Amino acid sequence: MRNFLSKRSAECRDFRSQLEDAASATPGAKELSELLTAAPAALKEHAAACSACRAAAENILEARALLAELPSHAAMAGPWFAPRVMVAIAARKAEISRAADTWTFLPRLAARLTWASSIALLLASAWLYQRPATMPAAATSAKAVATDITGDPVVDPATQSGGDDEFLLSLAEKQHR
Amino acid sequence: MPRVPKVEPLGPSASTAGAKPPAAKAPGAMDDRELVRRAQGEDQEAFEELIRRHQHRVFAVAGGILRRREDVEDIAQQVFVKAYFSLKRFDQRAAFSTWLYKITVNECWDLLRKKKVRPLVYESDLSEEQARQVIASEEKGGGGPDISDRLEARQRVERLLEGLDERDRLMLILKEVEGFAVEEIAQVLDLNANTVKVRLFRARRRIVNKVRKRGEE
Repeated sequence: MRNFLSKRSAECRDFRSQLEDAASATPGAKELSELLTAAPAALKEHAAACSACRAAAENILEARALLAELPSHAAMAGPWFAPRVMVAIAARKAEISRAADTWTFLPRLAARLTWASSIALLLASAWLYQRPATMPAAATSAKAVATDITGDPVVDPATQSGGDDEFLLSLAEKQHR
Repeated sequence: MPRVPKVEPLGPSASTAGAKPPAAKAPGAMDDRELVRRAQGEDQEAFEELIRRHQHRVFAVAGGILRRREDVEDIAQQVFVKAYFSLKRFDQRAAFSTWLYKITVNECWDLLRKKKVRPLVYESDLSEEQARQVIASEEKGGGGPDISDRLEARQRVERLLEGLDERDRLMLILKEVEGFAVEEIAQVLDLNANTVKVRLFRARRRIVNKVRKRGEE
């Protein structure tokens, strides 16, 4: 009994494997006999004896009848399609070359920018270097304008550029007057 | 059942067979391998020939996944544009058709992911052109109910297919609607031919059982 069952299941496996090929060979088949026209004799015998395998073959016919309602998309393609793709490719190529142009223009611009910025940097550093030397002179001239209550200029000893001697001399001159 | 024109089997290149130099041949007479080599060298005519040769199958695969006509056209175009710009990297270890199918399937899944829509969209299944045809035929009065019956039947089938796994649905459509061979479906989905047979068998059983159940209700 066990041997019989395992033999049967092996036959069923073979049947189902070959059934697909047999069905592919008869795309227009409407009945089981037509479906198995191209199948080997052993396959036909098995279909007659095994109800499960017969049902599997009938499923193919039923599924085919159902799916016959669906339209094929392959038929949508036509001679118009290849030129349309070539136009899209040309457009894409133009887009890529435009983008490439932008990127090749940038380095040229970058070289000019480097020159301009290094000159600007040089000028700025020269100006900064000169600036601290001119600052105290400006401060002294501003302070020299200040006068005391008598109208004499006020001399701040801390900012006096001439040193202590000059300060003492100016005080002596004041007292002498 | 509509049949998609078969792609020329990939054999040894005619140029390697050696009878004539490749320059003497028209693109239509060349095999895929030779055409790909020429297209890799910027030969536009060769690439156009590859499009003409494979467009029906690309439409069929994209149609099996997306169903909407507008999406199918756009994706088919995108597939060939992508193939053109990636052709230099294609080393011809696999057949050109296999490579192209993989691009098609990936582009379709990407589109579905981006749109976050279900592959079967009933209400917009008809293109504007198809809808106009239906309205025109109904206005004429000849065969009007017949067309609406057919549309209804189509929608019923698509609803049935919706219950299947996406890959099983694609397999069934490619096999029964587009006329692909089991080996070609295996190529498209990167599966073993026996796996395709088993899955086809189960998918058919599932939709037939559903129809029977609905008939009993």
